[in-house]
Amino acid sequence: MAESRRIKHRKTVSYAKWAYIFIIPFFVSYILFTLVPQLLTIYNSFFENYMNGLQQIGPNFVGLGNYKALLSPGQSGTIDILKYFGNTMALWILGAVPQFLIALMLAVIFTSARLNIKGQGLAKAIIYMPNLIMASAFSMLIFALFSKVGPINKYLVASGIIEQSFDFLTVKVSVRSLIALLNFLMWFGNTTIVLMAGIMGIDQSLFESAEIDGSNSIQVFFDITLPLLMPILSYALITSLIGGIQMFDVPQVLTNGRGTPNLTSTTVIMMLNNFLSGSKNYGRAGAVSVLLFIITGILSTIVYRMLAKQYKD
Amino acid sequence: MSEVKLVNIKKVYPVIERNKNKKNVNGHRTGNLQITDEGVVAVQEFSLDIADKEFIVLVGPSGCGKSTTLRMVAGLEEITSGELYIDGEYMNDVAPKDRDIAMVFQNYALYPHMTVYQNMAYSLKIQKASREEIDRKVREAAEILDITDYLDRKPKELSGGQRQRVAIGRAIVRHPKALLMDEPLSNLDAKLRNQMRAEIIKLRERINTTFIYVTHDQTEAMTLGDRIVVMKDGYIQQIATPQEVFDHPSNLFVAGFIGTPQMNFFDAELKLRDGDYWVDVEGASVRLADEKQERLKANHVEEQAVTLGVRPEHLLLADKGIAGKVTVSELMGSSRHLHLTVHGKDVIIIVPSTGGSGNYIGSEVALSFDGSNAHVFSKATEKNLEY
Repeated sequence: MAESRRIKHRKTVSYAKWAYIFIIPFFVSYILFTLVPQLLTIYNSFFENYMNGLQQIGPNFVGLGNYKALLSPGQSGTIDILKYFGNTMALWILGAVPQFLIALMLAVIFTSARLNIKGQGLAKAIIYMPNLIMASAFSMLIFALFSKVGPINKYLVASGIIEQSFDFLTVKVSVRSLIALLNFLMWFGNTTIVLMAGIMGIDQSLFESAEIDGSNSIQVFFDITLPLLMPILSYALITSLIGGIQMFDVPQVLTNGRGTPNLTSTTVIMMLNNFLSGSKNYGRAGAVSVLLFIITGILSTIVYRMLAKQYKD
Repeated sequence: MSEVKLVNIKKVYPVIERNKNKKNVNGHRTGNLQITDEGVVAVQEFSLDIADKEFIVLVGPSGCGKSTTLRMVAGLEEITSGELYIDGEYMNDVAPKDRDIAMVFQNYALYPHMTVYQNMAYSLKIQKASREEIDRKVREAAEILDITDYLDRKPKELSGGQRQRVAIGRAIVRHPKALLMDEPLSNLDAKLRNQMRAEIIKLRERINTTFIYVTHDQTEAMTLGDRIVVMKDGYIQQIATPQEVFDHPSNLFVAGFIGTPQMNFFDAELKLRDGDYWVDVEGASVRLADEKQERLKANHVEEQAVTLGVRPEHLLLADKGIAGKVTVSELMGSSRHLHLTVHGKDVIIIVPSTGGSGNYIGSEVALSFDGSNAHVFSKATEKNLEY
């Protein structure tokens, strides 16, 4: 009797509290290092707050002043942020289109039960490898390779393809192509792995069923693989888009922060960086961040609605 | 016309080198399957002539090679050696899409992003059939299967039975040369399975094509097949009509696999007395029926120790015979299954449930059987000595 009296009777057993305890560190760090800075960014975007030489201006509340300034034409008559956003999108599309096409092709080949490719593990490791290298280090490598006195130029001149060294980093097409190439090389392996996981998640008997229904491999790809891969593909596309909008390190290192030629490779984040590094214009930088956040949200929603939602089963 | 002919078909899955070096020794067996120099042998010496519009059922336990055989007919698995003919045409190297066969998968394999209509129309669309023809054929098949109301739904909005009907509808809409079914009812509950089994029998009357049906369920095999092919460890054990397989199992495995509850086996002696064969078992002696006498004589079977098989429904309670003690009594409705211990072995008999008090447990009983219901199997080869 004494034993039984000591036993505490509870109405329910809650295991959830342990789960909450385990996720507390995440929420604490999220609030401290992400949510608070985000809110401060939004707050700062309504203030005039920068250095004019050695003189600190503000912080003075200016309402939407920073936004108005960003969205007004500059001295050249163009709206800078739109120009840089255009650059950013162009650079992303140039890299993402081949990245997704090649990744899709490789993912289909690697996951084909019929082809049964050997040495897949090694191939996957190799194509993923560039993703492990720091973007800035990769950019330095390309910078060195394609500089006016770099080995590419030396080879092209020596083999008689061009007469004199060509400055890749002063021509819009070549600079943008190099940035796209870098992004493509860095990310196509990662995308391949993600898409492979997506394809492997599709029930194998659906492919077999389609084969028996009379489809050839192209029809199987477009009628079965692609529609069923859409949720993963849209995830990969949205994360790539978000990464693309935030593009910074590759063009920054490759053009030495100048966005050459004629600011045609300056991205929105490079613009934001310029606000911070020179005049420490927190108000203007905050406004850029908020606009970028809104644009990212809108574009992601559009991509999601276009791709994932229509195939949602 | 759509005859399917399989000649000495063999399927070997190559063993990955690193696994081979670990523990597999050539010629040995891992689990049920044989490992040779070439790899794991899943199916071998498989020869079968399937007549036009015949309903053939491949039946056997898991891993016996029945699904592999079906997949080889479909073209989803390469044939290691042997020949496959459909309508007299050599098919070994023909792609699945060009074999003009249809298949119903165990998990239905319905395209989740398409509606029922689109699922059923897909193969016709690939064949570039006209819109009118597609619509007519889809609605015709939907009518047969009673799924017209679901044509606009996606597979996830359907129950298991409805999905099964759609899978069959997708297969029959093309009027294929052969309809392959890989355990199509195994994902359904018992009641629905019985219902769908009856539907398949009706369907067979209406669509009139060659069926190759794979199942591990012997009830499905017995009720659906014109002939059944019993398989084990990649080998065919017996090809015969369901009645023939039940009445004259070719070996101990078939005898045990076909029939519920399974056949009882006893250690017995086959004796020749005055030119007649008798079985002596657990103190009882029974003369085999004339039909069996003739078969055994034709095979010049000698006196020997045998395994005697008697089905539960053929063992009778008697005044004297094989002595046993009832340990479990199961009321099955119209009958009662009694589990007995006979010299340490479990034996099941079926007795009518009417008239008895049901208080059998613990009682000592004697069993007898008729000589026409006794099956004698060689101890050495496990083959039925009548064959």
